[in-house]
Amino acid sequence: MAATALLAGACGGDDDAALVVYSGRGEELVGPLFERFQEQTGVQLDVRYGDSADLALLIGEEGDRTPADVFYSQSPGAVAFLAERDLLGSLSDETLGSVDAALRSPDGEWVGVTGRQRVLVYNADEVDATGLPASIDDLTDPEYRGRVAVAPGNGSFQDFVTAMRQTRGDEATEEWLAGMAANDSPNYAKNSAIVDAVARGEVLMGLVNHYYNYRALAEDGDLPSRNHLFEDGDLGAVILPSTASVVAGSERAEDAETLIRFLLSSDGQSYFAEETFEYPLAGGVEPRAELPPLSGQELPEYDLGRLSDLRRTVELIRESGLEQ
Amino acid sequence: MSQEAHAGGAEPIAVTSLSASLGGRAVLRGVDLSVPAGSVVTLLGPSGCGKTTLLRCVAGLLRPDSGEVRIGDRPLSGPRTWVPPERRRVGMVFQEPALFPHMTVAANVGYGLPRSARRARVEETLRLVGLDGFGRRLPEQLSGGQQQRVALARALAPRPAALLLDEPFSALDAPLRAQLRREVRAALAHIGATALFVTHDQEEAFLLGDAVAVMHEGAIAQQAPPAELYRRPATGEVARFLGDPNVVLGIAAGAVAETPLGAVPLASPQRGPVDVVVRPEQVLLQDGGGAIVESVEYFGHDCVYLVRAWGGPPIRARELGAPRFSPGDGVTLHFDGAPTAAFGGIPDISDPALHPSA
Amino acid sequence: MRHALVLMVAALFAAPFVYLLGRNLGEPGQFIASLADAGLAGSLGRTLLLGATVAAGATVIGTAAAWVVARTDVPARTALAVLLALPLVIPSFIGAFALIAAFATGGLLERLLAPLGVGSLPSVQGFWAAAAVLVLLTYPFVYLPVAARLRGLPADLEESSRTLGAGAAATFGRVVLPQLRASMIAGALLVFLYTISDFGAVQLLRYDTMTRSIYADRLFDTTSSFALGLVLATVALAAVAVERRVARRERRDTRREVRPLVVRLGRCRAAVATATWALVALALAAPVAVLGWWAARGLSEGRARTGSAIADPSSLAGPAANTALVSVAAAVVAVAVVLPVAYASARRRERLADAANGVIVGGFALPGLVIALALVFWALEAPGPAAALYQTLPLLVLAYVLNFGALSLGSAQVAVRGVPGSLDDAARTLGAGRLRRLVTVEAPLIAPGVAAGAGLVLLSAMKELPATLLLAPPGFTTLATRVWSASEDSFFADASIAALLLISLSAVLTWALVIRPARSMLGSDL
Repeated sequence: MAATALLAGACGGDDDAALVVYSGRGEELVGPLFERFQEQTGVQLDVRYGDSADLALLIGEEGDRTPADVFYSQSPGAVAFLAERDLLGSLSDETLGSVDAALRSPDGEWVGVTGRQRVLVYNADEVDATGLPASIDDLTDPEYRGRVAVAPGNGSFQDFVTAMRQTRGDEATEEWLAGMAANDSPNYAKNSAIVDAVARGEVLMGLVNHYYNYRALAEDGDLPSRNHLFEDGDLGAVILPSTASVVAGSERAEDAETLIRFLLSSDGQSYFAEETFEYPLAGGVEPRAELPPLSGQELPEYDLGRLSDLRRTVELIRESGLEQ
Repeated sequence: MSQEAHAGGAEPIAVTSLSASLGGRAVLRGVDLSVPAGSVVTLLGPSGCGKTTLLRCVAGLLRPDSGEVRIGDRPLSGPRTWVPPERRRVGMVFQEPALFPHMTVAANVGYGLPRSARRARVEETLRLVGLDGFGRRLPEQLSGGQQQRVALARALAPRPAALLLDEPFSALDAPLRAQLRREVRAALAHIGATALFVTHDQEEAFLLGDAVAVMHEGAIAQQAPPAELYRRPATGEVARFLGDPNVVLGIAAGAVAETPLGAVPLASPQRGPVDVVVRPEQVLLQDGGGAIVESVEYFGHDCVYLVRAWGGPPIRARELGAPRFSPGDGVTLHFDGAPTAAFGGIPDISDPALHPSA
Repeated sequence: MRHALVLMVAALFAAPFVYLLGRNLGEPGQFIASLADAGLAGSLGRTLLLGATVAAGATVIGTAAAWVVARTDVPARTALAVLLALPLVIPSFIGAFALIAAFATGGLLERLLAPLGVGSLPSVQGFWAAAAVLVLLTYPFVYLPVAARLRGLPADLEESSRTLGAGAAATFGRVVLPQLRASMIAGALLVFLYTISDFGAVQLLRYDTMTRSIYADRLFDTTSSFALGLVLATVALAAVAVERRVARRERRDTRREVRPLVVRLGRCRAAVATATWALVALALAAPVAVLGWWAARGLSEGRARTGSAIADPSSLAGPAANTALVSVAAAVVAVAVVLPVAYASARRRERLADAANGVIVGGFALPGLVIALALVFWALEAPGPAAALYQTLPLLVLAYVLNFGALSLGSAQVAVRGVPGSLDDAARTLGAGRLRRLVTVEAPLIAPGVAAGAGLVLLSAMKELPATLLLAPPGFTTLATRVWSASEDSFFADASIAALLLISLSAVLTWALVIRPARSMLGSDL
């Protein structure tokens, strides 16, 4: 199927029409990069911005009549939804090969574009930085009772739990979730809400993706929120990719892949590093200076792109009682 | 529609066997009515008898179940005919003025006119109703009487073949009503309009109508000139509805009926027990007697006594001038007047008065 | 002819409901299983509880506010009358975020109060927080119709009550309130439907309603999302049916009120004024202040970032123009589409008109996501030319119309009922055909009422998000989508600037297209 998709692309569609991108990442974030792509390649882009999950549902509803060529997703979860319905094409080995095997789909349906690291954000006015936990497992200690905010309904948290299940198994994961639930971990809707609550002092710390706090600090340098990174190799510091895919049946598969390779080029990757505070995953680009380097980390191989896995993850989270 | 047709003026209205229902309830049951060209017929009846329904059927605002409506030689409504109201060339004046609140008086009056003829005809019609120079005002700036005059002008302006008026003065106070009645009568006479005028007010019906049609339970009980209607009501209902009469029990023997008021001459001879219609002005009061004055209503030019004479309902008697009696006074009642109507007896066929044409 | 038109409109508005039915009944076994699985009873209970609580709260507050500005001598009545309506333009996802930032622990209010020695404020979340925030965002749905009704209510009713010895409070309770009943219930219904379909506020304040579950499950358990969607739609239709039963239609008084009744508040004047301004402060000033604060503090950062609205304010011009374009189009089309139904249902109760009324009003309770997916489905399934609509603005406008047509229906019905039938009769007997009557008599008379309804559609369409994201042609961004994408990525300065622009644009458009024309048409005493 993937081969036919590529073949269809090679035969060429209507070259005058723009390449259609469904982007689960916001215009503020990636709009300038798409602009740059159009200038450099002359390929016109029509970008639909939206929530990754909604866009996946949209492609699901459109089926083989979707106008989308590229799906750029905030997280692997939305990709999994499409993969299960055979709505994604395969990427070339060359594209896939530019990224660490841990951060791309084993079936070639998606490739990681940027890395978002899980961190513990804390309020530096209220918490002594020296006493911060080394591991995600410390958080189930009574010491942290009521102190660590989580966003159980959020895709990034769910991806993190999936990664835990794939490295430790369901039983150990259930145990950790139960421990967090027993600790009455306060719930929030999403990462930005946790960072905001920590900065206001409503809660002392919280599990989030690393870049939210950098953006918050960029808007208000006086905020007391700081990122704490769990020690090297700890699951708490897992890297979650944003992902790019070619949509099945795209008549512009070649241009679509050109765009994806542009995102992975040193040009694209430095943009992400500098402008969005995310980890570059390819092109030999270094992360922003204030970010701890990824090099020391051993990246375990998870596959975050299976919907059945994510479904089970959501079940476990709900059963644990963590979600209040 | 040509200008000639407009100028063609009044045409007769003919309603034949018209039946109509509202929400499944039969309201009109075979109405026959004719309004001769250039005359005014008033349609009189208690509320709820179907007057307005009949008017709306003639206007085309309501579709009858059966029967015919014609104006002039044009069938408007019949078994295979239906002309919508906007093509009937009827003018209509409603209970409330129903002026378009967002248009000036002139625009209201000109609404039914072709654009070219509008200005001159609007002025002319406003002059006819005495509202010269009011053209630029808005309806809300007018009094109730002025609004109703505008409504009349609006209906008259297109020179309708027939004019329909649905209790147009009912919301106005008495002096204004009287004045408008006179004005409308003069205006209708002046232009020679054919008009059907609905009212529940007998005074209004008699004053305005060349003929009065009394409606009862969805049918025309009698249509006749006012004087004749008053003198010779065709049915008990008509008699009862006009002039607020006393109805006394009597035994008829030909041209006279014996009643508690004494012998009463009858307009149509009959025999047996009858209901005799005795109008208040036909009751004469004399001092002393077994009947007791219960109450006195004084109207200035006349007064009405309510007298309890015998077991039945009190008798009303009307006299000119100031009251002579007070409540509690004993009086005697007499009939004094022209032969009157009686209903319920067996017609006396031997009497020649029954066959006036013979 | 008229029946056919009403039928077509009903069919149009039924499309999302039919889509939901089809999605669920294709696999009835799964449908039932996922209902059992989704913890339906609890979810349904919480949804109804929140909907009823918010509806009750908004009705009390909206009615009180309407009475204060329409009937009392409270200072600055005119300003209050306009300001009290404005919270309607704040999208709930940004309103909730701003209200949290304003009133929660460590928020703006706490900072302002800190010098006075006031300690830490509690965190803002859960049932009561969600209810409070939603009341603040939705009470204008009650306030607007009730204020309009009060202005049209003849003063002599209240005056005769006072002369009969009833005090101000008793008069309000026994004479005024019964007259407002239908307007209050209609407004409460809209609040209820808004609440049960809201995602932005309940997500941030974490109260688990059916709509929140629909969103939470939409990827992992699409079946159960659609099942809950169908339950939500059923609840909405049931609520509409209940409203039709409960609300006796108001008798409009066609007399023109020349003499506005003013209740002298006397000693209570200061207290009433304070309470009313406090409402404005909570519902409007607080979120706007937070947005302003975010915008100000992010100014320096934003200048450095490419693509930022602060670096290049002109980048918001396009989205602003787009917003105006689609929302005005939606308002106009919505009015045109619901008018035949308004006529059919206002003049006589027909079963068909009742059904059309049901699906139109019920559509307000469908999450934008469901409406968007339904339109994707229908556009792509439809034969031939309809598919050409896909990914075009007309389809987006249609989504707004299906979602918000309810908001124009109510006032259209009131407006249509307000035109005495005798005017139409008079025009007919004067020889005016259907078209002429419509243009010269009906249209000018119903215009102010219809414009008010169109205004509500306009404001709702301007802030609409899920359907806009999915149905707009690629590259077509509105202010709402800019606000959303910036806030989603934590660029709060950008989000705030776009949101403030959205609020200003709403106010300007409402003024220019709704309030001003209505004034010129009804005279200055509006």
